[in-house]
Amino acid sequence: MHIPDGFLETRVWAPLAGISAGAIALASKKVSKDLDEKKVPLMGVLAAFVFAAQMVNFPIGGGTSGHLTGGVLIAAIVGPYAAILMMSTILILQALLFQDGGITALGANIFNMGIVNAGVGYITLKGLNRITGNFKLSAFITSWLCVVLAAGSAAAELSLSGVVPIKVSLPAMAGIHALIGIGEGAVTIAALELISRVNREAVFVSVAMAHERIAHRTIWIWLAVSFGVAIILAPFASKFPDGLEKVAEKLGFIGRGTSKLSSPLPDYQIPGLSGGISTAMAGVIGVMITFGLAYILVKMLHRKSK
Amino acid sequence: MLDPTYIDTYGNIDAPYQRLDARVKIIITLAFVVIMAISVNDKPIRIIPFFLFVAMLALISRISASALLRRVLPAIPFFFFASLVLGFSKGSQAAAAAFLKAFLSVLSVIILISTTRFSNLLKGLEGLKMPRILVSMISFVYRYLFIIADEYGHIKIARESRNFGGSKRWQWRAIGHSVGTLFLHSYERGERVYSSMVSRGYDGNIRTIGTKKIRSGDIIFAVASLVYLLLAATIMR
Repeated sequence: MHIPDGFLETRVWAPLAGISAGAIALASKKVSKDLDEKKVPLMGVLAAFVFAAQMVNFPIGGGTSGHLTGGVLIAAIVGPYAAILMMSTILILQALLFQDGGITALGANIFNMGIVNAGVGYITLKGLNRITGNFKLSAFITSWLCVVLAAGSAAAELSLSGVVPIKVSLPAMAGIHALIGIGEGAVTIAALELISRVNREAVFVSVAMAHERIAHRTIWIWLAVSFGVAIILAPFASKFPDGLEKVAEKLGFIGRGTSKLSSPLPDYQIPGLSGGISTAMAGVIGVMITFGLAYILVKMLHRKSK
Repeated sequence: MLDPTYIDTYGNIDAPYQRLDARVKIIITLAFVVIMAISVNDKPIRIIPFFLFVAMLALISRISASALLRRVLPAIPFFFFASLVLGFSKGSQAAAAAFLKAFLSVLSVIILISTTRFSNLLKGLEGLKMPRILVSMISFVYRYLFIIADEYGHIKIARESRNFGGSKRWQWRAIGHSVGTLFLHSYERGERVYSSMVSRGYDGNIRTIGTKKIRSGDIIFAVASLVYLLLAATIMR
């Protein structure tokens, strides 16, 4: 998932570098204030732990294996700000020492694996835990979701730079990481389970989090944010020329490629509405359906766990 | 892969580039990578002046070409496949440009890292106003990464020797417990490190003998490099 130098365009990596620098500045400030800056050596050693944990391989089937990202695991233990700092530290060292990820792409990589995987992961975990009341289930879903989200965001960055059209990169990246995410989720809950069983004091946040209640409106804020993203990004996505389709047309196998099933929202557009509005609307409908399904699923599981 | 000594192998050689201030080296490397990323768009020809710059850096740091290539080698397959994909969507010119950009960026970073002792690099980063907490975390990760990775090696051997295998679900659980154990060990180690540092007077600040002053040679080199890079960015339009 580490993007190297040379593949992202300036208009993609420069703003992401800005966002990540801002996030690091905010996280440094928060951590210095909340977490007792004197404990930096402890945090440093734990960051080294996450680095080592990222080398842990697990089987995902078909003879292949994936490796941990660890953002949700560490965010559940030390909280979002320290987790973002740790992930940034690791990514900086990986870029400098192991040529894993580029220098100009560092902002993008910190965004994907620090902010999206660990930061968003923490909020999602907290929210899910509140709704379902089942910490293990929430940790599993969050780990899976945030691996897929981080991969999706890497795919989107590459597509915005014109490397691969989003219709190709997103299914490819999200698809393989949907598999890896299952392993990540299983490993994460097993690790959290062991840690909280053996040493409760070691866990700065997660145990407290299991009982903590967050306001219900947070969910509505997230729904609103998702709508915003869908409205802004959806028209953007379909504007790109689809390279693979072009190639397919040229080589004459496009006929074979077309689906026999008719999608309810063909090409992310609503029949009868035109252009950008239609695409944005399709995005909103997609978010609503996803949210509804997730809500029903969560409600059902919640009842079961009682 | 995880051998700490190989990282700054060339840091102790007495060569012109090694004598430069770490701050200057960091700025030049950053400027090189960023200016190249911006200016070499889809035309691989434009990379030539940047290639000459990296060759110059390698020359004045007395790193042999073979040693450099050995370091870059592991990263190359990934660049190759990524640019192959790019070749399908944007054409061969763009693919070649992206591959060369990735390659030269990595070369310049390797030259920076292998010629600068890590403690000097950290001092340089701090001198360039990177948040202090981040710099000290980087220094701790650098110190303990190899130890903790080793520790996972021990856990793994113990796991394998107990007939690790079976269904995937069971394997995930066992690996998860290994990761949890590694966390607990790291946590204990971290506490131990922290308390022994406190007993030696640690109060949240890491003190070092004052920072080196920037000499005129550093400034001349920095300005000359920046002028060259800016010229290189504009000359091949």
